[in-house]
Amino acid sequence: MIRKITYAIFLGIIITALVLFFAAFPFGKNKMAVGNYYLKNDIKQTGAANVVTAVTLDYRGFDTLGEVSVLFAAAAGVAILFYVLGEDKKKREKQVYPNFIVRVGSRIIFPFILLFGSYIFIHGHLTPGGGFQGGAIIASGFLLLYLAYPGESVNRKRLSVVEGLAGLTFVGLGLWGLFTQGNSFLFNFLPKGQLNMIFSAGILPIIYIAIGFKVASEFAGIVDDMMCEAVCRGGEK
Amino acid sequence: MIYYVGAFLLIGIGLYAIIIKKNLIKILIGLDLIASGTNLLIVSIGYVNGGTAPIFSRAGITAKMMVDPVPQALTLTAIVIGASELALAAAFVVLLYRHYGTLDIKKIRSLKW
Amino acid sequence: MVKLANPILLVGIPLFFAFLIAVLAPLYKKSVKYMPIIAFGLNLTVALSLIPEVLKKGVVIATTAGIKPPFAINMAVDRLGLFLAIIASLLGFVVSIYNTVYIKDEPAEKFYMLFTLLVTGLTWMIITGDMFNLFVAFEVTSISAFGLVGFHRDKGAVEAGFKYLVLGSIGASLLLIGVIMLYAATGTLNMADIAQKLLKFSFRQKLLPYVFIFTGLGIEGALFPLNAWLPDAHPAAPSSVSAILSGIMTTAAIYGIIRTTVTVFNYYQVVIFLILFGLLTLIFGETAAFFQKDIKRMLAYSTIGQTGLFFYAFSLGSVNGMKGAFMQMMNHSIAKAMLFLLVGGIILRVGTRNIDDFAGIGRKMKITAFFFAIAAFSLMGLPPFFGFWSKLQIIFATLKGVNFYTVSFVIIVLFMSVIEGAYFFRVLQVMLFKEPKEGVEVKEAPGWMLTAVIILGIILIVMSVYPQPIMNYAGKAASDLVSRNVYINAVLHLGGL
Repeated sequence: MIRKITYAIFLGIIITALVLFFAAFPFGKNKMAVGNYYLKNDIKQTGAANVVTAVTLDYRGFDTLGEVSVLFAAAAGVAILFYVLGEDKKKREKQVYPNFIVRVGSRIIFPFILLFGSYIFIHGHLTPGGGFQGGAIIASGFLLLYLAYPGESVNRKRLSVVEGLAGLTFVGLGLWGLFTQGNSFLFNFLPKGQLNMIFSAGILPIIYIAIGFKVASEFAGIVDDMMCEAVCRGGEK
Repeated sequence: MIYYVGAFLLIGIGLYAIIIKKNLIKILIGLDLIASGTNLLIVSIGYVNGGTAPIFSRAGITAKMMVDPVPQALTLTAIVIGASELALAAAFVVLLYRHYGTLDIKKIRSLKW
Repeated sequence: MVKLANPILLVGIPLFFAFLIAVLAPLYKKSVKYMPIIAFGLNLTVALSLIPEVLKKGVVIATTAGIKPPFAINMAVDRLGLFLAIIASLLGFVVSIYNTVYIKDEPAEKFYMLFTLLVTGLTWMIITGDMFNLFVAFEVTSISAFGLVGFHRDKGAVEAGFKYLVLGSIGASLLLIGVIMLYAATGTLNMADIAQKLLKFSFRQKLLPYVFIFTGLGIEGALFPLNAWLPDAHPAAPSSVSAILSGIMTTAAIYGIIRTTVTVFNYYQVVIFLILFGLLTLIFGETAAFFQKDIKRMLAYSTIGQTGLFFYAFSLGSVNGMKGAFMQMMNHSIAKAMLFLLVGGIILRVGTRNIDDFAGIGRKMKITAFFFAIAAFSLMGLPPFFGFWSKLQIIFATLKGVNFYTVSFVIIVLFMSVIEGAYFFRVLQVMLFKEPKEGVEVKEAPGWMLTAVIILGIILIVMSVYPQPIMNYAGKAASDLVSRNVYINAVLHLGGL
């Protein structure tokens, strides 16, 4: 009981301090300093219609590189934790499959999920969305297939190669910009094109497509590891 | 202001779950609540009264009518990072259950002083 | 040839190799373990080639996306940052050599991926010039460390990893909230820009974001009372990872605190009250280390103590104090990494982490014992090793004004050094002078592991024989840090590339 009371008092103090701090910066007031610059110069400098994408991939592209690395590290960490000796000799136990509607329905829906996810990450610079959202949608399609067919699995080696190649594309584009174009990492060196067309905004769509593939393969890998934890038998533990 | 208070309450409830609760799954949910509260806070910082989404989709939108794009980009990054942390935490919880057979954190104390 | 002296390459090259490992792992498994060596060897070359640039210009800036800061992310390396970046690349290179022989469990390729990302994240934290980028780099480091701590997947590793994960995630969220509060107040995320805009705020208004950022970074940086995870996590990780975690990760987090306090917040005078944190951490760490029987746990508590020592030296607020802190950082990184690498070799041969079981192995593992002694002496502060000069500098900086407080601080520091000497000498005594147990056959540690330690040992000996260049460099780094305008003007007027 003492712990809860101390926690409540502590929380009360912190929240009061926070409310007092934020009273000076009220909700809805325009607090932008760099934001104004981005809104004004976005079309000229990047050619992307979606300013949030321009900020994520061009102005603050380095943060996105970090985020991609975090996801990469998390997928590798989950793979390490769920690793069981004798990986390639494991067999998935033949489960009782779910009923007819789930099995057939998931096969019908899966291509549409792929299509929708791809639409989102290809049009990342024109509409809200982008690589991460599209990749997560595609991974949920994979999750649906796993739930419908627990005995099957994706080829992990191919996922690893796709993941690595997508990451290499991102870093490679950045290094290319550094060494040959403008002496600045992630310099946007392709033509800006016309606003609201797919082939506009230089390297931004290419990066988002790479990120979409990467995120989809990583989340699919995490889902595969967790699924295997539940249903795998065989190999030496 | 209500958005700020809501975000801080979420963070507060999440901290409460992590510090006081004994079930591993509840601690996991507490981590998620802290992440969600922080993301809500970031997004609500960027709002401008009467502003609209920062996308040049229609012909008549000018830069003056838009909300701040930077917190939205920051939230994108923070959400992905939060999801990765949670995935790793879930993996740890599964392994802990396999080793100790219980979800009670008071029993998982094999590393002493 | 391309221009190599660009700080972005310190992050770009290892990331490239990390993703390359993901591509090569299913195809050419054997080649994967050499990738980190190449990556960090290149990193070390870039870091060393930055030395003349930093000495000439003071601060080297690298932009991204071709847009000038503060409207894009930039890297800003000043003397202190370069100092730490060289240490990080050096440790990464040396430990990668060690890893080729040390890592035998599966899944090895994921280990190398995570290890490369860990050291990349650390270097990233050190060179970045943007607050949100600091958070992202902090997360890269943390998540890689969570996975690596749980690598052995046994009971201790999983519990330690989970504890570390919960506390580390809370710390990261606190750091993020602090950064967002700064954004709400100033509208920008660039460190130099925030530093200029914060001059208009009063001390009390700046206090709350500072507390959040300090707590968030302090959880990772082993400050008391936020370090409950460290004594479990550092021993549970494989020894090469412990070397990196103890050697440079806590230092990088403390660097984050230093950069935030002095440059961004201009709290140069107010750091006096942080002395309390430093001293408490020092006392807690060294005293707890004295009672340990497990050698890796003992070394982990020793890390806590040493971190407290150089944090205390920094918070004295004077240029001399900071000079002592930087020298101590360098000494601790190299010596602690050597100790963990050697202990990894010992545990490999003996099979247990208990100090009492190390009886008499010093006679068979002569090289190991020799370098253990050198590293321990440098950490303790015995003359003529480098640790003596750094501790002398710290005591000298404390005694600038002689009053009751400073004399008591010096007494505490000296007493803690004595305790430190006691537990290290106890280990050496067991290793060298006790009789070996019955039927224990040990040989020397494998060749490449020893090579890694010998490289670090030679560097330590060279530093001890010629301390002057490093002392001068540290002094200039300290005075650059204190006069914040060097950094701010360089970034805002693009004094670099």
